[in-house]
Amino acid sequence: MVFKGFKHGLTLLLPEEGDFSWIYNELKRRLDEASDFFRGASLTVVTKEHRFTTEERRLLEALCADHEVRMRLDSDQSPMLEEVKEKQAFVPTLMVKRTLRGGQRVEFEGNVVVKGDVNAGAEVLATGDIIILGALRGIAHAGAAGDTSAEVIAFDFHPVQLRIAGFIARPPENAPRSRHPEVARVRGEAIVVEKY
Amino acid sequence: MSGKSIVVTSGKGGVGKTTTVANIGTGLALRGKRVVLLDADIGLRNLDVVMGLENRIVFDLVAVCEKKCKIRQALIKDKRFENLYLIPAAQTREKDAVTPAQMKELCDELRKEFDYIIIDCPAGIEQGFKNAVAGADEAIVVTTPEVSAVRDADRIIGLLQANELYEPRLVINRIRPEMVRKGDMMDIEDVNDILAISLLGVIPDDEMIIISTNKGEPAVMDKNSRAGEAYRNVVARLEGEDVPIMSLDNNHSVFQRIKRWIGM
Repeated sequence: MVFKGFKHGLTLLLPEEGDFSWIYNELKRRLDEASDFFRGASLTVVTKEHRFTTEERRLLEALCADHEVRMRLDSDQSPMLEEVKEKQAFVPTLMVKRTLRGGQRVEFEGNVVVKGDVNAGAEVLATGDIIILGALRGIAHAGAAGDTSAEVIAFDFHPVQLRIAGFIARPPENAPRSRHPEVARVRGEAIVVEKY
Repeated sequence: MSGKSIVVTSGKGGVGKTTTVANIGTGLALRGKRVVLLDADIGLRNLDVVMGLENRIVFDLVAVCEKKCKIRQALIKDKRFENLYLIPAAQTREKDAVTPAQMKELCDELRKEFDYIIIDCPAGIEQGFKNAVAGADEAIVVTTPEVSAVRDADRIIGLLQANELYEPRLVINRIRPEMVRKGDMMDIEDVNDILAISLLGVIPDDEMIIISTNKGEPAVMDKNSRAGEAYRNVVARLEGEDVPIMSLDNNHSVFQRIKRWIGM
């Protein structure tokens, strides 16, 4: 039985072996030993293999409440994973390790990173962000499932057409050729392209 | 002996595939290589015309694939070179008269006899293209410095890579230096930027090409032709020699050249 400290509180990692009565008594012993330390803390119990019954869960909560500890069960995810997930960094990302040429199309639920160019006549469609480590000369559609916070980033930004969620934009005629990376995002009711 | 088969392709029509096949093939023959030109443009054959061999055709590619004749019977020997041959396309059939498997088999047979098999691919991306690339070990993509031709070349490069021809090389045809200088034509760098494959050669626009094509005498044999010189360089590079891309603007005034040196 191990306690670990994270910035949002304590985590109790239960061993894989051990029945409920052992867990209960061990936790009670620890809480009794250092009741001043635990008072007011929030405790996440990571159960892994254990499946508590409603009764067992109620008993654990009562024990924690006696020691003025807020307790919650987390049966499948470690708090670190959860923290990451809260920031939405766990969206799947597809890595395209080549240039997409005319007639080629990539469609993905998540983010897409292209290590190469997206040439005229090629198309990238993603429900998340699109990042192109090269020139964008074709069509990019980010946030294709309706996410207006999605972005398109490219080193060399010359799309035929750009789409984010339900918005469509095409570059102005005679647009000056920029030589720095740019990002496109939705601002208000339009797609705006600016220096990245 | 095990030769190399090279398909010459472009996607777009009229950019100079057949001219390139004729010139590369003749150029290699000039160097003493055993070369066979294979016209895969069934139904729209013209490599035989460019080579001046039209009136010698008896059997063709379809006849070979259908086993109606032996390969040897369909090989037409060139007028000028003992070591240069042509297998013409059929004119009265269509692209689907031949399958990729048959083309592969034919190339395997030809590889035993020749140093180079140069395949003239039809325009387009359909059956004819699939046939032409099926037996190829390498690919040459021909384009002209026009936006539409470069688009199609890009598409073709993608399709070649899907057919496991991962490193096609590029020939940029019909460059007009004076137009590039005025900014009216894409320059080599613009094309390279988009296609990003290795450059095999740059052929200047040259009226001699039209004359030589009509006469059935490839420009590569003409010592006075600028395009011919460019094709000789392409052939040298195919043979592994390190030849620099020739400067296209050597008829400048001295003043212009000085301006160029000091970066004006």
